[in-house]
Amino acid sequence: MYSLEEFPVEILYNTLQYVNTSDLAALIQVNRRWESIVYEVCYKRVQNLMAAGWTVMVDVDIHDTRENASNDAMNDNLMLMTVLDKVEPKTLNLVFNLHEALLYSAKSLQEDTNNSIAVFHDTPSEITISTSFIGLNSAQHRINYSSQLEAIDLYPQQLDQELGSDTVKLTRSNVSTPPARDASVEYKLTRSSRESISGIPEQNAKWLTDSSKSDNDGQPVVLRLEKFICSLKWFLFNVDSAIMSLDYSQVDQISIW
Amino acid sequence: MVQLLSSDNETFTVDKQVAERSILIKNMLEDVGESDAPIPLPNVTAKILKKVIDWCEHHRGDPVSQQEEINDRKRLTEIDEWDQKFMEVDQETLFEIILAANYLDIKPLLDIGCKTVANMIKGKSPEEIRRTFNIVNDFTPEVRQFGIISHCYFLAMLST
Repeated sequence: MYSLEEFPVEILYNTLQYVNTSDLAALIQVNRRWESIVYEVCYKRVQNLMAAGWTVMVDVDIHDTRENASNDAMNDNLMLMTVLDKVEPKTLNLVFNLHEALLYSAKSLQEDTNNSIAVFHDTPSEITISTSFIGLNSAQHRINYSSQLEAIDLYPQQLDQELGSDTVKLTRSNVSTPPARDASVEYKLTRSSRESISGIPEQNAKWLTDSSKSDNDGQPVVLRLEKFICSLKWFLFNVDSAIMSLDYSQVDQISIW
Repeated sequence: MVQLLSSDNETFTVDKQVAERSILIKNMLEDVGESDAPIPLPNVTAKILKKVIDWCEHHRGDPVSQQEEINDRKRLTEIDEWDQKFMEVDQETLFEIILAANYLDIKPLLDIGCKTVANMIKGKSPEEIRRTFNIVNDFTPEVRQFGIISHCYFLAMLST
Protein backbone atom coordinates (compact mmCIF):
# COMPACT_ATOMS: atom_id res chain seq x y z
CA MET A 1 0.00 0.00 0.00
CA TYR A 2 1.25 3.43 -0.90
CA SER A 3 1.59 6.02 1.82
CA LEU A 4 1.86 9.77 1.63
CA GLU A 5 5.46 9.41 2.80
CA GLU A 6 6.38 7.51 -0.38
CA PHE A 7 5.03 10.14 -2.74
CA PRO A 8 7.56 11.75 -5.03
CA VAL A 9 8.52 15.14 -3.70
CA GLU A 10 7.03 16.96 -6.71
CA ILE A 11 3.59 15.61 -5.77
CA LEU A 12 4.06 16.76 -2.18
CA TYR A 13 5.01 20.26 -3.39
CA ASN A 14 1.95 20.29 -5.61
CA THR A 15 -0.22 19.26 -2.65
CA LEU A 16 1.22 21.99 -0.45
CA GLN A 17 0.07 24.63 -2.95
CA TYR A 18 -3.44 23.90 -1.72
CA VAL A 19 -2.72 23.72 2.00
CA ASN A 20 -3.79 26.73 4.10
CA THR A 21 -1.15 28.62 6.03
CA SER A 22 -2.63 27.56 9.38
CA ASP A 23 -2.49 23.94 8.27
CA LEU A 24 1.13 24.38 7.16
CA ALA A 25 1.91 25.31 10.76
CA ALA A 26 0.53 21.93 11.87
CA LEU A 27 2.13 20.03 9.02
CA ILE A 28 5.60 21.36 9.83
CA GLN A 29 5.38 19.58 13.19
CA VAL A 30 4.49 16.18 11.76
CA ASN A 31 7.99 14.82 11.18
CA ARG A 32 11.42 15.77 9.87
CA ARG A 33 10.63 15.21 6.20
CA TRP A 34 7.52 17.34 6.35
CA GLU A 35 9.37 19.96 8.35
CA SER A 36 11.96 20.45 5.63
CA ILE A 37 9.41 20.35 2.81
CA VAL A 38 7.00 22.79 4.46
CA TYR A 39 9.83 25.12 5.42
CA GLU A 40 11.09 25.19 1.86
CA VAL A 41 7.60 25.77 0.48
CA CYS A 42 6.99 28.67 2.90
CA TYR A 43 10.34 30.26 2.16
CA LYS A 44 9.82 30.01 -1.58
CA ARG A 45 6.22 31.18 -1.32
CA VAL A 46 7.30 34.36 0.41
CA GLN A 47 10.27 34.87 -1.90
CA ASN A 48 8.01 34.52 -4.94
CA LEU A 49 5.50 36.97 -3.50
CA MET A 50 8.26 39.45 -2.76
CA ALA A 51 9.68 39.02 -6.26
CA ALA A 52 6.18 39.74 -7.55
CA GLY A 53 6.22 43.04 -5.68
CA TRP A 54 4.59 42.34 -2.31
CA THR A 55 6.61 43.69 0.55
CA VAL A 56 6.71 45.92 3.61
CA MET A 57 8.08 49.44 3.65
CA VAL A 58 9.13 51.34 6.75
CA ASP A 59 9.14 55.11 6.67
CA VAL A 60 10.99 57.01 9.38
CA ASP A 61 9.95 60.66 9.75
CA ILE A 62 12.04 62.93 11.90
CA HIS A 63 10.49 66.11 13.27
CA ASP A 64 11.72 68.94 15.38
CA THR A 65 8.80 70.86 16.78
CA ARG A 66 10.81 73.04 19.15
CA GLU A 67 10.22 76.75 18.64
CA ASN A 68 13.88 77.62 18.11
CA ALA A 69 14.61 74.66 15.86
CA SER A 70 16.52 75.28 12.65
CA ASN A 71 13.82 73.38 10.81
CA ASP A 72 15.27 72.17 7.49
CA ALA A 73 17.91 69.75 8.73
CA MET A 74 15.72 68.22 11.40
CA ASN A 75 12.70 67.48 9.28
CA ASP A 76 14.01 64.51 7.45
CA ASN A 77 12.86 61.16 6.19
CA LEU A 78 14.39 57.73 5.86
CA MET A 79 12.68 55.13 3.69
CA LEU A 80 13.50 51.48 4.34
CA MET A 81 12.59 48.33 2.45
CA THR A 82 12.34 44.85 3.93
CA VAL A 83 14.55 42.02 2.74
CA LEU A 84 13.64 38.49 3.84
CA ASP A 85 16.21 37.17 6.29
CA LYS A 86 14.65 33.90 7.43
CA VAL A 87 11.54 31.96 8.27
CA GLU A 88 11.54 30.82 11.88
CA PRO A 89 10.95 27.07 11.62
CA LYS A 90 8.94 26.62 14.81
CA THR A 91 6.60 29.57 14.42
CA LEU A 92 6.69 30.20 10.66
CA ASN A 93 7.31 33.84 11.52
CA LEU A 94 8.99 35.82 8.77
CA VAL A 95 11.99 37.87 9.81
CA PHE A 96 13.04 40.72 7.54
CA ASN A 97 16.07 42.98 7.59
CA LEU A 98 15.52 46.66 6.95
CA HIS A 99 17.57 48.44 4.33
CA GLU A 100 17.54 51.97 3.03
CA ALA A 101 15.60 52.38 -0.20
CA LEU A 102 16.77 54.09 -3.35
CA LEU A 103 15.54 57.65 -3.72
CA TYR A 104 12.33 57.83 -5.81
CA SER A 105 12.19 54.06 -6.09
CA ALA A 106 10.97 51.52 -3.58
CA LYS A 107 13.99 49.32 -4.10
CA SER A 108 16.49 48.32 -1.47
CA LEU A 109 19.91 49.92 -1.82
CA GLN A 110 21.73 46.94 -0.40
CA GLU A 111 20.83 43.47 0.70
CA ASP A 112 23.88 42.29 2.61
CA THR A 113 23.77 44.23 5.85
CA ASN A 114 21.93 43.37 9.02
CA ASN A 115 20.11 46.56 9.85
CA SER A 116 19.81 50.22 9.16
CA ILE A 117 20.98 52.88 11.56
CA ALA A 118 20.07 56.54 11.76
CA VAL A 119 22.33 58.84 13.75
CA PHE A 120 21.25 62.28 14.94
CA HIS A 121 23.77 64.78 16.26
CA ASP A 122 20.97 67.05 17.33
CA THR A 123 18.15 65.46 19.26
CA PRO A 124 14.91 65.44 17.29
CA SER A 125 11.70 66.01 19.24
CA GLU A 126 9.80 63.22 17.57
CA ILE A 127 10.49 60.25 15.34
CA THR A 128 7.59 58.47 13.68
CA ILE A 129 8.08 54.98 12.30
CA SER A 130 5.32 54.25 9.79
CA THR A 131 5.00 50.79 8.33
CA SER A 132 3.05 49.93 5.19
CA PHE A 133 2.30 46.72 3.37
CA ILE A 134 2.84 47.58 -0.28
CA GLY A 135 2.49 46.17 -3.75
CA LEU A 136 5.13 47.25 -6.21
CA ASN A 137 5.11 47.17 -9.93
CA SER A 138 8.00 44.73 -9.99
CA ALA A 139 9.50 46.10 -13.21
CA GLN A 140 9.56 49.75 -12.25
CA HIS A 141 9.53 49.58 -8.45
CA ARG A 142 6.63 51.97 -8.25
CA ILE A 143 4.06 51.54 -5.50
CA ASN A 144 0.71 50.31 -6.84
CA TYR A 145 -0.86 49.36 -3.53
CA SER A 146 -0.32 50.56 0.01
CA SER A 147 -1.95 49.68 3.30
CA GLN A 148 -0.65 51.59 6.28
CA LEU A 149 -0.17 49.88 9.65
CA GLU A 150 -0.08 51.48 13.08
CA ALA A 151 2.67 54.06 13.49
CA ILE A 152 5.22 54.08 16.30
CA ASP A 153 5.97 57.48 17.87
CA LEU A 154 9.29 57.94 19.62
CA TYR A 155 10.36 60.94 21.69
CA PRO A 156 14.16 60.95 21.82
CA GLN A 157 14.31 63.91 24.19
CA GLN A 158 12.87 61.63 26.87
CA LEU A 159 15.91 59.36 26.52
CA ASP A 160 17.95 61.44 28.91
CA GLN A 161 15.33 61.12 31.63
CA GLU A 162 14.79 57.42 31.16
CA LEU A 163 18.10 55.90 30.27
CA GLY A 164 21.80 56.01 30.67
CA SER A 165 24.06 55.68 27.64
CA ASP A 166 23.84 52.50 25.58
CA THR A 167 21.47 50.81 27.99
CA VAL A 168 18.31 50.79 25.96
CA LYS A 169 16.62 47.45 25.44
CA LEU A 170 15.53 46.15 22.10
CA THR A 171 11.94 47.20 21.63
CA ARG A 172 9.46 45.31 19.55
CA SER A 173 6.38 47.38 18.77
CA ASN A 174 3.30 45.89 17.21
CA VAL A 175 2.22 47.65 14.07
CA SER A 176 -0.74 45.55 13.01
CA THR A 177 -4.17 46.41 14.25
CA PRO A 178 -5.90 44.32 16.93
CA PRO A 179 -6.87 41.53 17.25
CA ALA A 180 -4.16 40.21 14.91
CA ARG A 181 -1.09 41.52 16.72
CA ASP A 182 1.34 39.60 14.60
CA ALA A 183 3.46 42.18 12.83
CA SER A 184 6.07 44.24 14.60
CA VAL A 185 9.13 46.41 14.13
CA GLU A 186 12.22 45.83 16.27
CA TYR A 187 14.35 48.86 17.00
CA LYS A 188 16.74 50.36 19.51
CA LEU A 189 16.77 54.04 20.35
CA THR A 190 19.73 55.11 22.41
CA ARG A 191 22.14 57.93 23.10
CA SER A 192 25.61 56.65 22.36
CA SER A 193 29.11 57.94 22.83
CA ARG A 194 31.08 59.03 19.77
CA GLU A 195 33.48 56.14 20.37
CA SER A 196 30.77 53.51 20.27
CA ILE A 197 29.23 54.80 17.06
CA SER A 198 32.57 55.07 15.30
CA GLY A 199 32.43 51.29 14.80
CA ILE A 200 29.23 51.41 12.77
CA PRO A 201 29.93 50.46 9.15
CA GLU A 202 29.52 53.53 6.99
CA GLN A 203 27.12 51.86 4.58
CA ASN A 204 24.73 51.02 7.44
CA ALA A 205 24.52 54.49 8.89
CA LYS A 206 22.53 57.46 7.77
CA TRP A 207 23.82 60.65 9.42
CA LEU A 208 20.81 62.82 9.53
CA THR A 209 22.21 66.03 10.97
CA ASP A 210 25.36 68.03 10.72
CA SER A 211 27.88 67.22 13.46
CA SER A 212 28.49 70.95 13.99
CA LYS A 213 24.96 71.17 15.40
CA SER A 214 25.66 68.51 17.99
CA ASP A 215 24.08 68.99 21.37
CA ASN A 216 24.31 66.86 24.52
CA ASP A 217 28.10 66.89 24.76
CA GLY A 218 28.57 65.17 21.44
CA GLN A 219 26.51 62.09 22.33
CA PRO A 220 24.37 61.48 19.28
CA VAL A 221 20.99 59.83 19.33
CA VAL A 222 21.17 56.52 17.51
CA LEU A 223 18.15 54.73 16.09
CA ARG A 224 18.89 51.15 15.07
CA LEU A 225 16.12 49.65 12.97
CA GLU A 226 16.70 45.97 13.56
CA LYS A 227 13.98 43.80 12.04
CA PHE A 228 10.44 43.64 10.77
CA ILE A 229 8.77 40.46 12.02
CA CYS A 230 5.39 39.09 11.02
CA SER A 231 3.64 35.76 10.86
CA LEU A 232 3.41 33.99 7.52
CA LYS A 233 -0.36 34.10 7.95
CA TRP A 234 -0.29 37.90 8.35
CA PHE A 235 1.83 38.32 5.21
CA LEU A 236 -0.37 36.07 3.07
CA PHE A 237 -3.53 37.66 4.48
CA ASN A 238 -2.24 41.07 3.39
CA VAL A 239 -1.47 39.77 -0.09
CA ASP A 240 -4.99 38.35 -0.33
CA SER A 241 -6.56 41.59 0.93
CA ALA A 242 -4.54 43.59 -1.55
CA ILE A 243 -5.58 41.34 -4.42
CA MET A 244 -9.22 41.65 -3.45
CA SER A 245 -8.98 45.44 -3.42
CA LEU A 246 -7.14 45.85 -6.70
CA ASP A 247 -8.80 45.75 -10.06
CA TYR A 248 -7.57 43.15 -12.52
CA SER A 249 -5.52 45.50 -14.65
CA GLN A 250 -3.41 46.39 -11.63
CA VAL A 251 -3.22 42.77 -10.54
CA ASP A 252 -1.74 41.81 -13.89
CA GLN A 253 0.96 44.40 -13.47
CA ILE A 254 1.96 43.05 -10.10
CA SER A 255 1.71 39.36 -11.14
CA ILE A 256 0.48 38.15 -7.84
CA TRP A 257 1.14 34.49 -7.29
CA MET B 1 -10.12 4.57 -30.93
CA VAL B 2 -7.04 3.81 -28.85
CA GLN B 3 -6.15 0.71 -26.86
CA LEU B 4 -4.49 1.06 -23.44
CA LEU B 5 -2.81 -1.86 -21.68
CA SER B 6 -2.68 -1.83 -17.89
CA SER B 7 0.16 -3.24 -15.80
CA ASP B 8 -1.95 -6.34 -15.06
CA ASN B 9 -2.53 -6.91 -18.80
CA GLU B 10 -6.09 -5.68 -19.12
CA THR B 11 -6.88 -3.83 -22.33
CA PHE B 12 -9.17 -0.78 -22.46
CA THR B 13 -10.50 0.70 -25.67
CA VAL B 14 -11.15 4.44 -25.45
CA ASP B 15 -11.78 7.42 -27.68
CA LYS B 16 -8.58 9.09 -28.89
CA GLN B 17 -9.89 12.43 -27.58
CA VAL B 18 -10.41 10.88 -24.14
CA ALA B 19 -7.01 9.18 -24.09
CA GLU B 20 -5.31 12.41 -25.10
CA ARG B 21 -6.28 14.05 -21.81
CA SER B 22 -3.05 12.30 -20.82
CA ILE B 23 -0.08 14.23 -22.15
CA LEU B 24 2.03 11.06 -21.90
CA ILE B 25 -0.39 9.12 -24.13
CA LYS B 26 -0.81 12.09 -26.48
CA ASN B 27 2.95 12.26 -26.98
CA MET B 28 3.20 8.49 -27.45
CA LEU B 29 0.46 8.56 -30.09
CA GLU B 30 2.24 11.36 -31.92
CA ASP B 31 5.52 9.43 -31.80
CA VAL B 32 4.04 6.10 -32.89
CA GLY B 33 1.59 7.43 -35.48
CA GLU B 34 -1.38 5.31 -36.66
CA SER B 35 -1.18 1.90 -35.00
CA ASP B 36 -3.54 -0.73 -33.62
CA ALA B 37 -1.05 -1.91 -31.01
CA PRO B 38 -2.14 -1.23 -27.42
CA ILE B 39 -0.20 1.40 -25.51
CA PRO B 40 1.47 -0.23 -22.49
CA LEU B 41 1.06 1.60 -19.18
CA PRO B 42 3.24 -0.45 -16.83
CA ASN B 43 2.74 1.86 -13.82
CA VAL B 44 -1.07 1.74 -13.75
CA THR B 45 -3.24 -1.17 -12.68
CA ALA B 46 -6.55 -1.99 -14.43
CA LYS B 47 -8.54 -0.82 -11.39
CA ILE B 48 -6.90 2.61 -11.40
CA LEU B 49 -6.78 2.91 -15.19
CA LYS B 50 -10.54 2.36 -15.29
CA LYS B 51 -11.01 5.20 -12.76
CA VAL B 52 -8.69 7.48 -14.73
CA ILE B 53 -10.57 6.72 -17.99
CA ASP B 54 -13.87 7.49 -16.23
CA TRP B 55 -12.47 10.86 -15.17
CA CYS B 56 -11.10 11.62 -18.65
CA GLU B 57 -14.44 10.73 -20.25
CA HIS B 58 -16.33 13.04 -17.91
CA HIS B 59 -13.87 15.86 -18.59
CA ARG B 60 -13.35 15.21 -22.31
CA GLY B 61 -14.79 18.59 -23.30
CA ASP B 62 -12.82 20.63 -20.75
CA PRO B 63 -10.37 23.20 -22.11
CA VAL B 64 -6.87 21.79 -21.93
CA SER B 65 -5.36 25.02 -20.69
CA GLN B 66 -6.11 25.74 -17.06
CA GLN B 67 -4.06 28.94 -17.10
CA GLU B 68 -6.93 31.13 -15.98
CA GLU B 69 -7.27 28.99 -12.88
CA ILE B 70 -3.69 29.77 -11.85
CA ASN B 71 -4.55 33.45 -11.65
CA ASP B 72 -7.66 32.89 -9.60
CA ARG B 73 -6.60 31.83 -6.14
CA LYS B 74 -10.18 31.70 -4.85
CA ARG B 75 -10.90 28.77 -7.09
CA LEU B 76 -7.70 26.92 -6.29
CA THR B 77 -8.97 25.02 -3.27
CA GLU B 78 -12.43 24.34 -4.62
CA ILE B 79 -13.28 20.95 -6.10
CA ASP B 80 -16.15 20.45 -8.53
CA GLU B 81 -19.03 18.35 -7.11
CA TRP B 82 -18.58 15.50 -9.60
CA ASP B 83 -14.85 15.40 -8.86
CA GLN B 84 -15.52 15.36 -5.11
CA LYS B 85 -17.71 12.28 -5.55
CA PHE B 86 -15.10 10.76 -7.87
CA MET B 87 -12.48 11.14 -5.16
CA GLU B 88 -14.64 9.53 -2.46
CA VAL B 89 -12.48 6.42 -2.41
CA ASP B 90 -10.28 4.72 0.17
CA GLN B 91 -6.91 6.31 0.84
CA GLU B 92 -4.92 3.70 -1.10
CA THR B 93 -7.04 4.22 -4.22
CA LEU B 94 -6.77 8.00 -3.86
CA PHE B 95 -2.98 7.79 -3.68
CA GLU B 96 -2.84 5.44 -6.67
CA ILE B 97 -5.01 7.83 -8.70
CA ILE B 98 -2.65 10.70 -7.81
CA LEU B 99 0.40 8.65 -8.78
CA ALA B 100 -1.28 7.55 -12.02
CA ALA B 101 -2.23 11.15 -12.85
CA ASN B 102 1.36 12.18 -12.24
CA TYR B 103 2.71 9.34 -14.41
CA LEU B 104 0.17 9.87 -17.20
CA ASP B 105 0.69 13.64 -16.98
CA ILE B 106 -2.93 14.61 -16.45
CA LYS B 107 -2.42 17.86 -14.53
CA PRO B 108 -6.08 18.67 -13.73
CA LEU B 109 -6.61 15.19 -12.25
CA LEU B 110 -3.35 15.45 -10.30
CA ASP B 111 -4.49 18.81 -8.93
CA ILE B 112 -7.86 17.42 -7.84
CA GLY B 113 -6.08 14.57 -6.06
CA CYS B 114 -3.68 16.98 -4.35
CA LYS B 115 -6.56 19.26 -3.33
CA THR B 116 -8.32 16.24 -1.85
CA VAL B 117 -5.23 15.44 0.23
CA ALA B 118 -4.97 19.11 1.25
CA ASN B 119 -8.61 18.98 2.38
CA MET B 120 -7.81 15.88 4.44
CA ILE B 121 -5.09 17.89 6.21
CA LYS B 122 -7.38 20.88 6.82
CA GLY B 123 -7.94 21.78 10.48
CA LYS B 124 -6.05 18.77 11.85
CA SER B 125 -3.44 18.81 14.59
CA PRO B 126 0.03 17.33 13.88
CA GLU B 127 -0.97 14.14 15.72
CA GLU B 128 -4.21 13.83 13.75
CA ILE B 129 -2.30 14.29 10.48
CA ARG B 130 0.11 11.52 11.55
CA ARG B 131 -2.80 9.22 12.35
CA THR B 132 -4.67 10.03 9.11
CA PHE B 133 -1.70 9.32 6.88
CA ASN B 134 0.11 6.79 9.07
CA ILE B 135 3.20 9.01 9.39
CA VAL B 136 5.85 8.19 11.98
CA ASN B 137 6.91 11.03 14.30
CA ASP B 138 10.70 10.97 14.09
CA PHE B 139 11.32 14.10 16.16
CA THR B 140 13.25 13.51 19.34
CA PRO B 141 11.90 15.53 22.30
CA GLU B 142 15.07 17.65 22.22
CA VAL B 143 14.64 18.57 18.58
CA ARG B 144 11.01 19.55 19.12
CA GLN B 145 11.79 21.54 22.24
CA PHE B 146 14.66 23.55 20.89
CA GLY B 147 13.72 23.59 17.23
CA ILE B 148 17.18 22.60 16.10
CA ILE B 149 16.81 23.34 12.46
CA SER B 150 19.29 25.78 11.17
CA HIS B 151 18.31 28.32 8.65
CA CYS B 152 21.63 27.73 6.95
CA TYR B 153 20.74 24.09 6.39
CA PHE B 154 17.60 25.08 4.55
CA LEU B 155 19.29 27.78 2.58
CA ALA B 156 21.92 25.24 1.55
CA MET B 157 19.14 22.86 0.59
CA LEU B 158 17.44 25.57 -1.44
CA SER B 159 20.58 26.36 -3.33
CA THR B 160 21.21 22.74 -4.37
